[in-house]
Amino acid sequence: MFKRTWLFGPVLVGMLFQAGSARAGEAIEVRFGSGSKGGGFDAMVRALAEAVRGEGRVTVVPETTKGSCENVHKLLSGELDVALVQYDVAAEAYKAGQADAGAGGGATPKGGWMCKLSPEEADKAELQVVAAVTDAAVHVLVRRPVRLDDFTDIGREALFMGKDGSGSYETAKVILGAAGHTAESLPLFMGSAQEALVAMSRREVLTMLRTTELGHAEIRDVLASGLATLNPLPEAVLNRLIDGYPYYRICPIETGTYPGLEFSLPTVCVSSVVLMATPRERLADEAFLADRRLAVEAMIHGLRKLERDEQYAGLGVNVEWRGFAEREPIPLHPVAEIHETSERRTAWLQAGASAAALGLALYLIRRALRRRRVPGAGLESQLSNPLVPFAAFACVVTLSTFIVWSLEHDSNARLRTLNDSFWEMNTFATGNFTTDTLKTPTARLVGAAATILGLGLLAWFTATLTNIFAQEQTRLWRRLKHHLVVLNFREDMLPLIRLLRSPGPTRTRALHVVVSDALPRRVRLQLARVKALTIHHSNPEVPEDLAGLRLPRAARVIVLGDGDAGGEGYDPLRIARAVHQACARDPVGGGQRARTLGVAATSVEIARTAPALPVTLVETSDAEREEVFSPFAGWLVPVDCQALAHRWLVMACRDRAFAELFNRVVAFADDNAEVYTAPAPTWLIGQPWRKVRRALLEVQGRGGAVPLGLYRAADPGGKVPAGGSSHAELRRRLIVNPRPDEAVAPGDLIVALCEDEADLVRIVAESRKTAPAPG
Amino acid sequence: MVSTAKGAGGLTGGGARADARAGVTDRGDTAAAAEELATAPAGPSRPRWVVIHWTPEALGLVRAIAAAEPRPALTLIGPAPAEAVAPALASLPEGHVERYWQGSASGGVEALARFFADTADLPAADAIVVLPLRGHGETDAFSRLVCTAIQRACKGGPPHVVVAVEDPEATHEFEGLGVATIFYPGFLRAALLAHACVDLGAFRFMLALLSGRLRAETWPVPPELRARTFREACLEIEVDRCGRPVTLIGLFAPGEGAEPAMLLSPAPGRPLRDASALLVLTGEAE
Repeated sequence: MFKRTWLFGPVLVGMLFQAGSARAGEAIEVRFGSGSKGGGFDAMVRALAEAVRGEGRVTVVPETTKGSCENVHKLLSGELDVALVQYDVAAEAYKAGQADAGAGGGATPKGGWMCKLSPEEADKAELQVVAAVTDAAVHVLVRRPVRLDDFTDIGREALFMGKDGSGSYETAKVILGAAGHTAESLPLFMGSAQEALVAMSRREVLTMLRTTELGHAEIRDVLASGLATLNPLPEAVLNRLIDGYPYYRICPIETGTYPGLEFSLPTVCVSSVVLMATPRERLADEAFLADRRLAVEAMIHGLRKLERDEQYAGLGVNVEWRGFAEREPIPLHPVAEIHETSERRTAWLQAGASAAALGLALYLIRRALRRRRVPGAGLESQLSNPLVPFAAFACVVTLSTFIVWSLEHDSNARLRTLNDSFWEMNTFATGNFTTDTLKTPTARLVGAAATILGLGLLAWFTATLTNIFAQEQTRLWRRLKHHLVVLNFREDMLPLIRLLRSPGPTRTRALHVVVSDALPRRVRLQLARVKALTIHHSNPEVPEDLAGLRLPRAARVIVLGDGDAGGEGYDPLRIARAVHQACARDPVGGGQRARTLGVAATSVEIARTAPALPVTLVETSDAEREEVFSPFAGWLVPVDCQALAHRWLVMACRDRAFAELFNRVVAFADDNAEVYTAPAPTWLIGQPWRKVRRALLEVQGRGGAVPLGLYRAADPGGKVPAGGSSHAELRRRLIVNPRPDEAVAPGDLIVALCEDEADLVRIVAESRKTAPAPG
Repeated sequence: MVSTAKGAGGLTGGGARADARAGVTDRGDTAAAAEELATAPAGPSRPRWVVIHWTPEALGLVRAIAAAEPRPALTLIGPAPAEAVAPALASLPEGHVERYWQGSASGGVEALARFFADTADLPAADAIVVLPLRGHGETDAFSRLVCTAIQRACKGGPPHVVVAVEDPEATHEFEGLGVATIFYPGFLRAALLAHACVDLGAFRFMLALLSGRLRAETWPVPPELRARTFREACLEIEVDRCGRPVTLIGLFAPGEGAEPAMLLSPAPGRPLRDASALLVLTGEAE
């Protein structure tokens, strides 16, 4: 109700200030031309008269006519005020009125306009469209089993085109004209549609051209009876028709419109409009025009009622102002223009509000991603993401599809549907288009833009993919969960990378390596060739630089020393602190309960805000005593590699088999056994080691596992200690060569020599068959 | 990390395994053979070890050697004059180092060989460690010259020589020089950290091996196990003579060139009939 008031407001206010409003109070009678009695036009006009009745002083008086042609003639002669007219007929009348009636002199033969209109007759009144109300499509019905690919032979048998004087007849005439025929040269069946069907059943009529609304019951019955089939309008005819008579629009009869119709058939549609004629001599009569405006307002109100009301749903009224034909030369009535403007403004406001809401949502998502420091959220990182050009390509194709379709679907037989338009725009965007696809300059401009943008985006997409395949690394595969992080990488640790990528459990884990600017370029190039390895150029002593590594989710963090840099490189202790702070700030590591910066912190507060930390291995040297790292003992393991190397030399000198044994145990070779652990299954819990060992050894299979002992939780079956899983992991105790009566405790891991981890897991699982019964 | 170079005279790291095979054949007493042939160095109660190319940066190695049981009598040979290293050596407890000699290959291999034979008495050493000599050109080339000199000095057969190299690609250059083991410390670092990434339990196992708390001993094959499989041997061998739990982890069997090869965790059904010795893990990890 509010909407209606808002729409009518400006109109009514304008009318109050009209001079013509002086006649307020008198009834305004509108002579409304419909069509033949009992037809669609007649029913609609009678319903409109009913809808308008009681609303103001406007009365619609229906007048029965023979159809569009008679309506137009009567409008021009002033016998009717308003009428329902097929738009092609109305447009021809308007064009005839625009023509110079005196051109060529009175001796020049005239004729050829639809409905035998003459320019002199058409010039008697000014025509204006109130609204387009219904739509009809041309149906080409052809007697079974004949199918017409073109209209060359359409005249070999009788043809039905409708009643002379109806819009349908005039439409059929111009269609046949587009096929190179004249109505006079064809064997026309003169009679009603029903009679034509009977004649068709007697094989006397081959073709029927009927202009009716889609899904018309009569057509449905004919198709269902098997008497005739629907044929498409040939593409050449369509194009010629639209070029010569752009008052139609190309529209398909879609699949499912009629039972058994399995393909979309191209044809033309034409709308019926409420046409108002104003005699030329009354164009300056303001009172008359004011009454007309009131009448138009009332009729629009009534048409809206017919459109919305379920009671009138059968009439199929759909009020439109524009866009119902390829070209619409007849101007809208000023009242209708006001309605159109306000509706367009509303639509733009809604679109603007939707765009603003979308923009706001995108902004909030982007802000949330940036706050959570989700890697890859930045613009720079998206440049190497192939999904970005792919998404942009999809956007270009989608947008151009809609634009081109809306521009040409009424006039271009090749762009009848969105599907057609989508396919054509794909060919444009990939540079495979044909030159005669698009017709209008605007659509061609859009097509050219789509081609340029599409080819550019495809080049970008190809480049990113090439980059991925060349480097074997991509952000898509830079997993940041259970990943391995190496901080402060240096050249002599390349064997570490090789080992982590050799056959073994770490081979599939994402590897993130933080390198300093001092690392030689050749080493970086070597690293860049390693699969699933991401190089980060950042300062490992700065927690903010480590934020993107999502350290709390990492499986392991390795902090390397500065090697031979002599203290000029990054310090492992400072890196360890940075790891701690980076985890404290990470949402996963406990960022929500991060301690605020202050001049002091209590031990309680420090314990409360302890973040979840990954197990971190730090390479230390003689210069850094292990005690330096003792505050981090819960999650950090200092590894003095130099001291271990010295011990290795001592062991190699003392024990001659040591070197070979150690070498075999540490090498991830295919034919070699390494030490792995696997969780003890429930059926082994509580069993003495002797029985567990026997059960594992007795598992049959290709390879075996040699059980070495247990890796025991500090608190078997207890809760995870404060500080997270890394604390629990480092508090475990390794028991090799357990006593034969040592019972396996809950949470114990079985330590064994095995060819690979999967084998050990399998053997442990299969030990159920060989395990002793509980108790 | 390690490679075993075979010397011209066949005196390589496989010597201990040959001894083990002989022990089984002669005595057939598993426990006694284990005690006798456990891969501790043979010879006098206090073995004599020599470290070549020693510099004060390797003080940690001296401490590590001094911690070995039994503590070896240690001779150091380095490029620096004795006065230059005296302060560093003085920081060590009494008895850690028996002797320091200045010597390097800069005077030629022949001269160094004579020095090794006549002065440093290398032929009498049980084990020799050759460290990388930094700052004198190509590091591993110097070590190779030293190994040549050792081979010439110890004509009857060099002692157990362990060489630490900087470049793993230089390993093959030591072939034929009588070097038992070539060690690449860079790989040790990488391997330890890599295993720590896989499994902390495995990492701790390696630390236990390095610390000597866990030891791999070579035991003879008991006659009663000869006709049985590795799985059965594993089930049979549970404790040593003192009743301490042990684990059978592998065996030695004839490999290429009749040299016994170490088989770690072989297939459970592998028969022991051709095994020359068993590899047994002893000790406690923590």
